Amino acid sequence: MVTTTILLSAPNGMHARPAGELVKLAKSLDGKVTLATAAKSVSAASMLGILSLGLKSGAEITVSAEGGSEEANLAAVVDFIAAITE
Amino acid sequence: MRVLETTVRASEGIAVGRAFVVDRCTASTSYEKGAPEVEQNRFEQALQQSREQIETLAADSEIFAAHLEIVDDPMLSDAVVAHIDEGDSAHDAVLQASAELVSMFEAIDDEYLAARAADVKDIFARIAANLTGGVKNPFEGVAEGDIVVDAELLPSDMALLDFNKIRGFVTAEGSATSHVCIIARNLSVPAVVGLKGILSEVKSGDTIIVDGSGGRVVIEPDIATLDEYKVRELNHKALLAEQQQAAGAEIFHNGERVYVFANAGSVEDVERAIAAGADGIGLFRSEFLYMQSSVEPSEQQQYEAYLSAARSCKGKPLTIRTLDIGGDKAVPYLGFEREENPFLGWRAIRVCLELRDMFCRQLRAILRASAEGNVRVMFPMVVTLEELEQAKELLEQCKSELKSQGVAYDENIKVGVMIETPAAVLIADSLASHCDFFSIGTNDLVQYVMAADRANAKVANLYNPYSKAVLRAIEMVIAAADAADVECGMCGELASDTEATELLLGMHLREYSVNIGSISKIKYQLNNLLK
Repeated sequence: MVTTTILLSAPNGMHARPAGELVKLAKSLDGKVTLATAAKSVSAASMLGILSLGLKSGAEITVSAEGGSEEANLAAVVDFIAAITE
Repeated sequence: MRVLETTVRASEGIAVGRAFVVDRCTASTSYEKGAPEVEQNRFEQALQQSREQIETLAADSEIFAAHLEIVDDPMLSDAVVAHIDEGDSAHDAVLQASAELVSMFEAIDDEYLAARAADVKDIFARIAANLTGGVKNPFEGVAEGDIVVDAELLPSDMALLDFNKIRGFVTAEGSATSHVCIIARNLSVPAVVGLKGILSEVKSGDTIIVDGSGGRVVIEPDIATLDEYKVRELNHKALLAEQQQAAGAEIFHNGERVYVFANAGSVEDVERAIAAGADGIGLFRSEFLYMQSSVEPSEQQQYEAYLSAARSCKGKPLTIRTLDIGGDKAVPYLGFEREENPFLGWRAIRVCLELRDMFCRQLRAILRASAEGNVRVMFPMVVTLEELEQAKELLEQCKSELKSQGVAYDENIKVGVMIETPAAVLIADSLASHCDFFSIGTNDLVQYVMAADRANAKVANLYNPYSKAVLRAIEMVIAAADAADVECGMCGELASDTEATELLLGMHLREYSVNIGSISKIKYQLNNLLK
């Protein structure tokens, strides 16, 4: 398993639209990716899970990838989150 | 031969066929808890069943389309499986997971999740029902061409009952505005609803006639009646075919295009209207966005809704009416106070010009959507020129904000005014020189001109769109629009009334914004008049 921690820079936090896109991305990967905050950890393939983290702009997210091409999967999700601008 | 009648008009048309009386008795199967693997299996089967049911429903319903998006969310099954692993039965696990997730979503300050809480509850209830064998198909045995007779048909029944297979339906309960009746009208399935006593009068296998146009059901008709209705059934089908042919056509009168638009209350409506041959949307009621949630919809949410409506219009006009609410249809978060006279009170543009931030969020969302479609904006309940000027000023302000942020919008977005008050009629000439189009809202106009509450049966005879005062008002508005070379449409019920079409055409009305179910009828009527 590989893990990294990032800050959410998206000005409006993680709302439904980017979360939906993220779920699509996570489902296309060959391994499991999870997002976690201090409070809990959820699958990146779960729209309800991601939104239930209540991620506001500036939130700290720990991203982990397990199984498949872990490094690539982790990078894909981290890059996606960093690129959310709306 | 027995005849039952109601004043409710659910879905017009005639159907003659064999009655299928629905048996709603559900034998509750006994439920014995098995080992965790057994329960896990049961849950997976019930989930699969639920998914299939929802897929069928999602084809023509936004509600179920939203269910479909989350039924496979791993968070749902993970929560259930956790309880099964702890030794719960699949059924108990589903109920517990439902309660947990729903309360969690409700606690989070996120509009999307708050709305999903209801969906999650609904999905889990379906899974639980599937687990206990409770969703036995009550329509098993319905044959092609049968007429379904039931106490009431609910939206979820649409998953099990194929409307294209049955010839018509009759229910003891229900109203013409229910979801099932809307679908029935769209698919031209004759129906009579709210017919008390029908269940004690008819049994499966009886021959019955459903006269949806007359709100009448005939049970075991005699030969003469049967023959009469068979001829009427054929005539109605022939008429429907002609109307459907008319729906796709562009209509011209003396070289001018005559438009048949539709009134829509949701994105789903817009899609249906365009599919039914509408030349555009003459009235897109934005209230649904504000009514369906416990907080004001964000600019982004509104933008997404307007954008998908605009895209569904495929280049045809989408006329978005800004928020039209007041004391009679209040939304909790706007702090409406009870009013003695809500129809003469703080409503529509009056609210918006006061709650400017909220109004600007809506205007910006509309402007952003205008970048990718033929979007028009329309203000309701205008009574003074100042109101129109203030609203336009705010629109300009929103435009320059968007411009400075580099956000795209239609610089020349058309601005219109709903003409629905006597004041607007009397100053129509001044309003016309400050806007691009009018839309006459006859429902309110009739009530204000005649000083007759449309919901009060005692003054129903005064609430008459054909009264001289109302017709003169309409004539004045169209004349004022013509003089200023401003487009003029009508979006009230009168526009959907085929008996009014000739009169309105004579008054030089060029845009008829009608109920979705009336698009083909009005086009057909116009075609006939202009032959």
